[in-house]
Amino acid sequence: MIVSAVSCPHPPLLMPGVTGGTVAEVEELRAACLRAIAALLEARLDLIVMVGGVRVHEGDEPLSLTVGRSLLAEAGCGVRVDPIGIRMDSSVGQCLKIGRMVSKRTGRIGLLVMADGSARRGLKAPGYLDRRAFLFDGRVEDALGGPHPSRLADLEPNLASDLLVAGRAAWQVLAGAFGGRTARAVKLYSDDPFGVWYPVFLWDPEPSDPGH
Amino acid sequence: MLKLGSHSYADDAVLIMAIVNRTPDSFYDRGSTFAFEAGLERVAQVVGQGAEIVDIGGVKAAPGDEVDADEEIRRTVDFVTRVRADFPDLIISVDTWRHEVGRAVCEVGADVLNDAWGGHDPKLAEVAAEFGTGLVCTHAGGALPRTRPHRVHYLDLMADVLARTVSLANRAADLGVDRGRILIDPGHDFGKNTWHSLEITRRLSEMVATGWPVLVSLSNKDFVGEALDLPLEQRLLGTLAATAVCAWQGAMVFRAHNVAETRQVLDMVAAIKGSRAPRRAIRGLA
Repeated sequence: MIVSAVSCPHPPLLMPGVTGGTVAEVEELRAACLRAIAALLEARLDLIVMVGGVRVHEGDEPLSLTVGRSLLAEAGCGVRVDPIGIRMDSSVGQCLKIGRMVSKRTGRIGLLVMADGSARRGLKAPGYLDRRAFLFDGRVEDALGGPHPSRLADLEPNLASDLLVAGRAAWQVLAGAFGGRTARAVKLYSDDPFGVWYPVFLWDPEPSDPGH
Repeated sequence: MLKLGSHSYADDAVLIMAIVNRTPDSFYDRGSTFAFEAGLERVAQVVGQGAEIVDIGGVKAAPGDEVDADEEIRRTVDFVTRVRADFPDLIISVDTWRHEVGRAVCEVGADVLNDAWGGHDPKLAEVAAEFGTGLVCTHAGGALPRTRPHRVHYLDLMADVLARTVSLANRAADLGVDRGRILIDPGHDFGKNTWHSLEITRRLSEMVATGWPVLVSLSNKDFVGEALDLPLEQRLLGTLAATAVCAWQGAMVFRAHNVAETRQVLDMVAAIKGSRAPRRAIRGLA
């Protein structure tokens, strides 16, 4: 049963040493990610299921899961980790199905979703400026902050792809995993210092009603 | 031997390709030579400072307002025509990825087509062959024109750089571009992050070892800015350091904004290498 969930972004610059010197904006993001993961680990877990998108040309170690592993190591995670890579072009149905399968696993599970938003959030952004990015990411922020898991299922794959949103598939696994469950959401970070949206959210699910 | 225009250069020659932008919004000069007369003044200035080549570009490399082929031709053709008339011996390069633009500028006297995006338009090499011009074959990692790198990853960067540039060069030669007029360029910052750009600088000798003449375009680029954490207007010294490292390893053509400074650095490196004599050695010899 999923007893805790976190959504974390996965830019390469979160890996140790990648920025060369220390960059203040990156350290602020890193601190938020580590706080989220610390909260995840507080829930006395048997297992962490880590979900992240895989790009077309990526092989065994996709960026999303590599960054996830790196953050877990930094946080001193001693719990077993089961990584799930999901193709970024997976259909909504495929993502929801994987999420449902995760929700049925036994033991106390912490779900770590590696996902970030649009890379087209400014003239200097890697993907330049596309004003639709703000609307799209706004919908995700609303869904993560409610939280409203089912709204994540409504995200359109083609639009997400056009807007260079890396996290669409992973967020839809999250949606499938939470089904109709309610939760309390905490926003630890939501900003785009480099034109890419990085959200860090913690979900604390209500215990499932045994009679449901 | 490298042939450009009507000139021939020995293997130890070092040439400067001066950047002359015909854009309102390029990253460094921000439109300062967009006006026709200002552009011509810049050409005269850089020729006076010792540039053997001018590189005329009509579209900025970074993302921005769309500039289609017709607009690009409007920005460059008349200018090339005038520069050709005023400077008959000057080697004129045009920075474009488009074959339509290539054709239009070759018709009015361009000597080199500088394709910064690595063969995105395969017909550009055919145009170079048809008109007998030179061609620069650049590594851009498969990036689309006017896009920024986003989480780029290479299993083996140098292998990718060598494979792409050498195969572009061979393809051009097979299409009929004169072998002596083909250059390869590792494409600093194009499809690359700073770590990548530093590595291709460090390992430039591997490009030189292919036997194709090497062109580098370092000037005021982000890899210099990120190495030193310095903004655009403070990158000259870092650029010159990278210039010296590339010159030492055997690069032949240096595409630069700051011609006088680049000339001095190249002359000093050449003196150190022994490929040119000091201009005036008297001390201790009198």
